[in-house]
Amino acid sequence: MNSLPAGMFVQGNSFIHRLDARMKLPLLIGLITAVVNTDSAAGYAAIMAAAAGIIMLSELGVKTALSPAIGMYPFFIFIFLMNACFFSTEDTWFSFWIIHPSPYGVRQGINVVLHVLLVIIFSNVMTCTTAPMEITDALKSLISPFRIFKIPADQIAMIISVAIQFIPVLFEEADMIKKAQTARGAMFDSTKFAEKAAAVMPLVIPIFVGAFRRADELSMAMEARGYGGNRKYLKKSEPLHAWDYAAAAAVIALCLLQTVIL
Amino acid sequence: MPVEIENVSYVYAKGTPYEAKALNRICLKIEDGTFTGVMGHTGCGKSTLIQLIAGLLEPSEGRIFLDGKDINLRGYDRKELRKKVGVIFQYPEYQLFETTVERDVMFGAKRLGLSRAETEERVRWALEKVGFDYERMRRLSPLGLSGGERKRIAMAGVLAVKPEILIMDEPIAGLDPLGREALLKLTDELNAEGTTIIMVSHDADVLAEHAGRVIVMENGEIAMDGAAKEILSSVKKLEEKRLGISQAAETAKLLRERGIDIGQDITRYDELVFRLVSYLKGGAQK
Repeated sequence: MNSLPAGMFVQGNSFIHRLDARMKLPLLIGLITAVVNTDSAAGYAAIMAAAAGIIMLSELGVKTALSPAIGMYPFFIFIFLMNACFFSTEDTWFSFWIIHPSPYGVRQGINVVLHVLLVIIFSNVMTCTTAPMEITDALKSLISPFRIFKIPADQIAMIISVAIQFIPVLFEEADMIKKAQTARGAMFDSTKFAEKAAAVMPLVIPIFVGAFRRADELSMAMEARGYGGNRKYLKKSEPLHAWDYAAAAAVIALCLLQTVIL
Repeated sequence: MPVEIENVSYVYAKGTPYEAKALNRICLKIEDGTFTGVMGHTGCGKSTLIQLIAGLLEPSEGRIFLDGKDINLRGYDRKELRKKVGVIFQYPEYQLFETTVERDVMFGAKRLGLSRAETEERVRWALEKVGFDYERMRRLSPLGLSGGERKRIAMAGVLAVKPEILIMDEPIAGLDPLGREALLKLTDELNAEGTTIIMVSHDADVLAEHAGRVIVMENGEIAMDGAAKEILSSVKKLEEKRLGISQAAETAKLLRERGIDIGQDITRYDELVFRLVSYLKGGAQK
């Protein structure tokens, strides 16, 4: 395992790290809404300034904060070209077969690329600065009001938190299995397509078998310790701090600025 | 086909906030036909070291030679490496995936370019080596067998390639006493037939009884390296490093503390018994 998956939690003590996840999660949704509503140069300037400010406050470093978005550049080029060439058939520069590049298309392409780019950056900063357990606790508390509609909030929260906690475990196991199969001759790094395709089965089957085995073991261990899906294990949550409300105010102001003025 | 490791360092997750140095400028030569034990605490770099030797990781610095050839050079034939070096990981049973035992054991061996009959012969040999009846096992599904059986099937899959160097990472962990004895006997047999064995284990008893050379690793560096007898009888040094010592060495040490000195170089059970008997006989004569 030499490269880390994008968006992995990075230990830290910055302002963004200390924000309560219960506030961060709705604020992320707020920011995404603001991004989606943006389509003017001034609007982009405002939201990019906000993104820059958040990245600085998060103390993650520009590289960690932007790398997943930068890594997707082929995708961005692709969606830009798709939009630029196929979006509009009016007012085109030229038309060839089904390709009609137009100023509207280019504009739309720029919009889509910037929207996706900004959403990825904001989400990445969120997951990089929030421990998985905090995210699940936040989800739990955010969906708990829906209990009155008979939605099993605790079970859902448990499912999500178990799933998140299993990601690194499965990741490590997949790495180990890959090495074991490589050692006995599977060719994952082959450039020949046939060899590469043939190497998939020895990887996929053990990973699935392992995942089921772990799920089985865990459910048994949970039952053995008395888990019954009830909410007795819920821990008391801390109240929100002043800085959480300050951050909320800032994001709401940005959203208003986006929708009302720009 | 000696393994030579020259100034090898390895850094995990380089360039990320999780960067961690696992190995620091290791130099090592492992001769043909030897049985080398590697000891050390979790995180000392022993697993990284064996994965580097097996070509599963690429060193951040330094070079690794097998048979005089640098295994990380662009032109090096990886298939050759896979043929020569076999690895049994700590939980080999998790690597099974085929529909029948025979096909799973064949997975590595069929890449060697042998005839069908020869390949089948290899499978039969490997299954018998790990204590199974070929005819009875070949058509069973490996995933339906018990844990211990799956472990042995997976080992057979590695043995069927007939590697010249066999690397084992904590092979006896999780085995019952009988399985453990059988595995160690098998390892000794392979070693006697000329296979180089590199075994990671923190069980000083196993290394005392079987290994010729022992390497102790600490914080990504080689802390001790020498003949098994010499290393495993340095009781004081091992205890300073909080590593276990063999029961024979421990017994000799406890006897010494009670004034019964039967020698400081005891690491193996048979030596202990022999020395103790001669001590007691000598004592009776006095």
